[in-house]
Amino acid sequence: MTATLHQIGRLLGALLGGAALSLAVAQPAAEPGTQQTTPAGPRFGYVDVFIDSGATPLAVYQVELRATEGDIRIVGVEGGDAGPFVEPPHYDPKALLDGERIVLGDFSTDADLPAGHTRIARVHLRIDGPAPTLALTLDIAGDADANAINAQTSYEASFQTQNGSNP
Amino acid sequence: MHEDPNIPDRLARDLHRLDSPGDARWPADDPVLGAARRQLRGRSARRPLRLAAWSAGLAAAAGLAISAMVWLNPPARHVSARGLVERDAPAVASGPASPVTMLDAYRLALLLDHDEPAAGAWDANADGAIDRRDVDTLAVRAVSLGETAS
Repeated sequence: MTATLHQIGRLLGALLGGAALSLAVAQPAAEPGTQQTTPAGPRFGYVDVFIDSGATPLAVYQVELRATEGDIRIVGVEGGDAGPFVEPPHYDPKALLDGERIVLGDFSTDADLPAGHTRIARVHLRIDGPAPTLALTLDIAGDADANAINAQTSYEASFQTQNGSNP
Repeated sequence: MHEDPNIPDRLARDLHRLDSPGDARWPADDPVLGAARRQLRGRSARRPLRLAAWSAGLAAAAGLAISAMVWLNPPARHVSARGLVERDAPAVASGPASPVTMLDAYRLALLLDHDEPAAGAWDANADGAIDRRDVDTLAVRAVSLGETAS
């Protein structure tokens, strides 16, 4: 009786092993020199928006961010660095519906205002397809006396695919 | 001595006394007039000097008072604590620019912070009062996708 059970076990093991081997052989082999890629799907990223007001403390700003190429949808807005602009700036909620363009603006009457290179906001995006081309324009920047000042604006984008790589 | 019976005795006596040179009771007219003229001349000469002194004193006092008022409580349109400078005052007082930018909201916030008068054009939400809600209204307009030109 015991011998019969052992024979049945060996037979089942042989059958399972053969099935596994046949499945492995049936998988198509990757062509040499090519790399298997993850299908490009929706992914998320963010854009840090900066204003450089030089030596002049920045009291008020207004910028516009838009995509000139690519398919994006703006999904959220955060504030900037610690300081008077740490809270999310003013923006039109319609930007989250329409998706491709947003105007950000804020001011501070605090005595302690940032100068130099300052991150004023982070804009979160949902991206479909290739990496978008963005355009950032400075509508206005002002000092504590409400005078318009010369300032430079810039952004740093971080777009990642679903597996964490940058496209 | 007393021929006319119509003249009272007392009057006749006084008239005779005036005629007698050794009993003159009244000073001659010339010394009196001279003294009066000297007195008046002196007064009329000092009056312009006193008026000038009083005028100068009053002017100096008024100047000091105005200087003190300006120094202690400067006019809002010239310099505020946050520094709204004089050249901005007309634009600030007249109301926000068109199209509205965040700078307009900031200017109104400064005016309110420093209790400076704001023209009626700042009543952005048309509720009859100029307050923080108007600042918010201006800020919303500034970032509105319908408002900004692009």
